[in-house]
Amino acid sequence: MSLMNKSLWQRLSEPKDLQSMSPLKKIFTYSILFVWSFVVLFPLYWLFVTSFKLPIQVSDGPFYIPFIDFEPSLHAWKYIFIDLGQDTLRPYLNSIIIASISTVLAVFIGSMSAYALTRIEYKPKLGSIVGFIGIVALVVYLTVTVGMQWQLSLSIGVALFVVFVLAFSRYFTRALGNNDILFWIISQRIMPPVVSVLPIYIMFQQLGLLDTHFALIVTYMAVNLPIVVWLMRDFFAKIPVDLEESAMLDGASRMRVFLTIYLPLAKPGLAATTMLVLILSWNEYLLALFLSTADAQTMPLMVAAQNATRGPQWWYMSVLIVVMVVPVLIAAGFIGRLINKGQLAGAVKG
Amino acid sequence: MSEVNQAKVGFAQRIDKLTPQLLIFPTVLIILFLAIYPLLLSAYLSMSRFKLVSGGFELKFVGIYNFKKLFSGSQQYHFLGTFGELLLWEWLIIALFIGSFCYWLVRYFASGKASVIGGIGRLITALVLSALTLLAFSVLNGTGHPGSLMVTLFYVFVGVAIQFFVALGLALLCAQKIRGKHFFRMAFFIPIMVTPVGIAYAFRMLMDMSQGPFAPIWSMFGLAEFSWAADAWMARWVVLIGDSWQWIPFLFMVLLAAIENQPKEQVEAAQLDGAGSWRVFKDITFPSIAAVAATAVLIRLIEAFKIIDLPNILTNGGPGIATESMTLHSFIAWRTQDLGGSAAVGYSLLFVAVVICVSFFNFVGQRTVAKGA
Amino acid sequence: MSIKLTGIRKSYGSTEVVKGVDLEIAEGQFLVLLGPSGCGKTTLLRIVAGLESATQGEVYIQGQEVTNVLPKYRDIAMVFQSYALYPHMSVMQNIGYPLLLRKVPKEERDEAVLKAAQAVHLEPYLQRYPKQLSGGQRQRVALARAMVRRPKLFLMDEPLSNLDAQLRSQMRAELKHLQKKLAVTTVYVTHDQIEAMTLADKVAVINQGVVQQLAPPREIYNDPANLFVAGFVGSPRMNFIRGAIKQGIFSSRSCEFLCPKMADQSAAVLGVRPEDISIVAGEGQIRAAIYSIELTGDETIVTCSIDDEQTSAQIVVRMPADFESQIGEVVSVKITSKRVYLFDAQSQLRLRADGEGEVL
Repeated sequence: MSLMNKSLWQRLSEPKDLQSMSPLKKIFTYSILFVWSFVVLFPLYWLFVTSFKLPIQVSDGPFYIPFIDFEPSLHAWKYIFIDLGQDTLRPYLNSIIIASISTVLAVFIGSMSAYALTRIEYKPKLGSIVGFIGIVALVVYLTVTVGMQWQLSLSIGVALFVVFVLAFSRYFTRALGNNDILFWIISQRIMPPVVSVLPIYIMFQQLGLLDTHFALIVTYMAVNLPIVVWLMRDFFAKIPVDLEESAMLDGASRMRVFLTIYLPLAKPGLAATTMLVLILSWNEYLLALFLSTADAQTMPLMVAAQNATRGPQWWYMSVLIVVMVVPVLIAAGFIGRLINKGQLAGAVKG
Repeated sequence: MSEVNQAKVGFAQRIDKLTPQLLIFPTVLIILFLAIYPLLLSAYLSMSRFKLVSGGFELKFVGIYNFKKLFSGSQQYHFLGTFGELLLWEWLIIALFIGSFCYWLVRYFASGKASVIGGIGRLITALVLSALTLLAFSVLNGTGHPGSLMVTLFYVFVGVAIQFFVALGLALLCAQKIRGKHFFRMAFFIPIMVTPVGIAYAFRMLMDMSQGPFAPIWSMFGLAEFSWAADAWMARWVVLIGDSWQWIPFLFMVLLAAIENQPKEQVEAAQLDGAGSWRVFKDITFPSIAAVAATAVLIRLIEAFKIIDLPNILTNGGPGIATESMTLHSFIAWRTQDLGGSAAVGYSLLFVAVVICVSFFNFVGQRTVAKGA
Repeated sequence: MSIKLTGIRKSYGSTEVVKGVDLEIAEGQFLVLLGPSGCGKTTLLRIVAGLESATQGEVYIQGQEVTNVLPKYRDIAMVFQSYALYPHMSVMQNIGYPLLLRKVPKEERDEAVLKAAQAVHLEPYLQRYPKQLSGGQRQRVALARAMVRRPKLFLMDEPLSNLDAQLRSQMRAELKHLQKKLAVTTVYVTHDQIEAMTLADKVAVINQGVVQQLAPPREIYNDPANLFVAGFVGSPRMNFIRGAIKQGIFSSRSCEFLCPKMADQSAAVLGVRPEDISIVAGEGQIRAAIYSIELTGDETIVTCSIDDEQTSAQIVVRMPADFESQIGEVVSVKITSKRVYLFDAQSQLRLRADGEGEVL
């Protein structure tokens, strides 16, 4: 085969060189990418357009482009922001407060544990753990079945545990390692919220904390902790141990090492984790449904509430969904810039 | 060092030596109080009957009654489904599946490396998979109807498989030298930012046969009057599509990052050796992303079991119970004041999810990680 | 600032990497821990630093036991093989970090940083980040960071091993100069014998977790305590010939050597350095065949094969640059110096005659 006389098929299917794509591959690639862009963006476009429609324009069948095949109206935006006013603002603020505080707490506490699990060796004794579980079971048995007052059974349990550890701890030889702790923490994420939400609901009800920011913040934080530990551990593991040892010799405490060396160096990982946790708590629906009714109601609940007895109010929903996506997009823009910044170059060697 | 200095150091050092405990304590405490304690309480709830009485509620211990109701009692149709009549060839396929699980078990025990915990774990995995195979054939064979358990597994397995392959394909396309990479990457990431509730409503609008944007297309095919929400399988697929639309971005981002991190020299060496794109993918790209892919799929598996928002809003679980996931089933039971039943469904979901996720982690995830390293 | 280690042992699981080390370093001394990789020298250094805890034994710094004291309270500065610079801090912040941790006021800190930077010629780079520096400059930053707070003790873990040869000899001289000027006790770990010989006041040769010999460099070279030290120190390494001593004569298949003062020994090793033997026209003690000839410029390194119990045994001879010969030629090799060492092949220990180093 001569290099000069390529057939049409060859010209289409073979690349000019290793670095570029053949024309056929190019057409294939771009057409799929554009089709998927349409799949991804069209629902959002439709929501955006619907938010400017009058009810009649929705029910009379599809209209696609504002000003061309329908006259856009601001009635839905006006209803949501002016007529409802406070009723929109409150869930919006609730969502912002709950999502941001719970994210910051989860990321901070989770990172702390992730750092500890990457760099410090823990050896909880199997015996102590078994003892602890046994004593918890005893306390539950005493309270529930025997009917003892919970304060009393709890103090018995604590006392027993202290005695147990003091008496037997030196006989325990089998110990768990960091990987076991990590697995224990991560496995909590497998638990469907619907399993834990009933007891949490009852717990907050007893404490009188239902429908408060506190309840949702604490719950979201707990639910997202395992993810933070899981993701951050990989990022911390990439930071050279030498840096930590050097800092400790220079006189830094572990907390200081964590705050001034590990957190800044894991910035890309922190950003990615924060982004994910923020999105998860911002959009969360089920837990909010159980734990908030009015005062602490979040945006997903407000969106769902537009499915009124008169049938779904598409135009109002669209406004709310668009309004909900905007802050996430802005946050993603800011946080995304941090993700791609490599920090570790130059840490060690040449 | 002087005496005073020494005492000061002693005190400071005692605090420093406590730091390891302080670092991990908050997480352990939070998990104990907001995961382990609820888990135990939920176990108790699942074995009791909840009754509202004046000024509060009352819990009555009923043992495994709630579970019995789900597996063989009045809620069996809702949870397991309605069993159909199995044909001979279906029995044969089931036997084939169960046989292969048994072979896997026997091979492990014969390998000489078997341990007690490993054996028990594999036994549970094999038993649960066998039971689920049997259940799948009995409720899906045309004469039966799947309950919330099988519908959840449909969302999980079919959904995650579709999401993984679409995401992998998109990531491979995006990892090439293309223009507008930044745009595609940003655009493809957007769906994950939309609240699932919003996605559900958006898909209800989009899938509206007479008012939605695709109405002209439907009417062209004479489908304007067709209602997907009244057809069980169509409804399930619509839920699945909505879920996939949201979660493909997550897998896409993770896989794209992994593909872009693959060793460039290896790819170039293979290309010089004359390997085509498929061989490069099979021999170099896939092994180098396998560990990350396994982790990403595991995260997706874990989250997929929790699906509720989409079926709840898109179809309200209907038609009938056709699109109900286990979480939604549990939620509906809670709404009808059946707290015990609700907790029992939740616990069953937890059991299935743990067995499947841990099995995946141990038997698929570990292997790919070991190979990748 | 003196350091004392007594009975230090360290095991990881069932493998013991440090097997009972006793060491003492006087104030202001430069001690080099020399040994092949995996000999436990780095572990020993990390035990001194407190980064690793010893399984057994005690560490004393200036007479005080610090075995269970955390690193941050030991007032030790360490230079790591990887330099361990903080990538997110500028050179100035890197050097100032130990002072920042000690809550030194800003002006004082800046002044100290500047002084330390001057000492290692880094003033122009203070605002740069580690990734913008060359290997040698990073090394200097690490040194400056260790110096800036005037620690009681410097620990260095192969600090020069990532530099190229030229830079390494330059940094070696600077290091020695700085250490003498600051007069800070220093423990330096390396596998490079040239670094050990040039820098140390005292060298501890370590192998398989045991100190083989602790002595000044000259003594290590001239009076090795055992076969390992003799073979490890010196380049090209010392020649070893296996044989036996009988009635004052060391003999092997290719070598006969008179050592009248020595007692009989059925399995002995004769050691002699390449510069202490010569290929001669007349009679020598060793019969050999030339294997290869390498001209290095100022001298010729001649490798000869000898007939020994081991197959392919070789000896190396340093000859003047004008030496010429043919590969394969049979030559006789003469021992030209009194520096001949005899070892017990079993215990590997040096054999001495009545306390004398000499054997002739």
